[in-house]
Amino acid sequence: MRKRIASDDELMSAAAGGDASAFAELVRRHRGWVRSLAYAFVQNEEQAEDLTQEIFCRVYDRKDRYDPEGKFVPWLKRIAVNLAKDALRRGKRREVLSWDELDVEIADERAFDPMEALASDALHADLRDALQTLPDEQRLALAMHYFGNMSLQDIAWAMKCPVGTVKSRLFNGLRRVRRTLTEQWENEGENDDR
Amino acid sequence: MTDEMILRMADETVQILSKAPWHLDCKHLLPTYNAMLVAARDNHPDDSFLGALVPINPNNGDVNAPILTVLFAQLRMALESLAGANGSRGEEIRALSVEH
Repeated sequence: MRKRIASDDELMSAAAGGDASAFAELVRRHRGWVRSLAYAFVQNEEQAEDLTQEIFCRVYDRKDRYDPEGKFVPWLKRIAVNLAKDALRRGKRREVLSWDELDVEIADERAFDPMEALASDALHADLRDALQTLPDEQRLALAMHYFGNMSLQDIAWAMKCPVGTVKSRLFNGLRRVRRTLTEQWENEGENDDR
Repeated sequence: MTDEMILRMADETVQILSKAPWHLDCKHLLPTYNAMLVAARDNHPDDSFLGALVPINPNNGDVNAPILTVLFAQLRMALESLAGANGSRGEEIRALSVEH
């Protein structure tokens, strides 16, 4: 008989009851996209790693307060985005617990990680550069929507803003990307003509 | 093929790819991507953004799910940003509102 896979809610309940392996499984499942989200904010591998640890430490600290109603991912996204914004505001690394201190085991296998696309070689180089010039909130919204395959509602939840604001960020981000690319290519064309 | 059809197909493909193992070989989807890109460029022959995106040769290296996701995503961005560039916010929002 095939073993049933525990839901995130079941794992959180088990973790709240002291089951460290349940929390480790949650980390294994979600670490990939959380790390990518962190990277989208801080644009630094080491800081993204630290921030990821900080996010899961926060989840662990609040495991008793989680209401298991099938919304673990939005809840985790909200924590991640809030801490990422805090990290940006601080503008410097914050000391966090190590995984050893947290007493969890992390599997080496990385989950599918669509938000890493921001730095992907498959992305057109000029587009990649143009995305990096965007304000953080526009870049993150675009990354979540186009590369993270997240719905507008999930992005709104994660960014703690109305859906209308998400649409504006996407609209303005896209328009700005196109304008940047067009201006760059026109300038290059003019230089080539000289 | 209209822009709307291309966008919907790209969106549906990315949804499927998001559930695929990252290491899954997706080379067989490249002809689909190339055909959609060519259709988009035919719809907007003067657009420099679409013009900068080039069809991918299926024989050039591995193509896994994340790579294909990026390709479809940038095609969607090029098409959806066209509406914004033309000053039609209504169309833009409608395109962005395609829900999963």
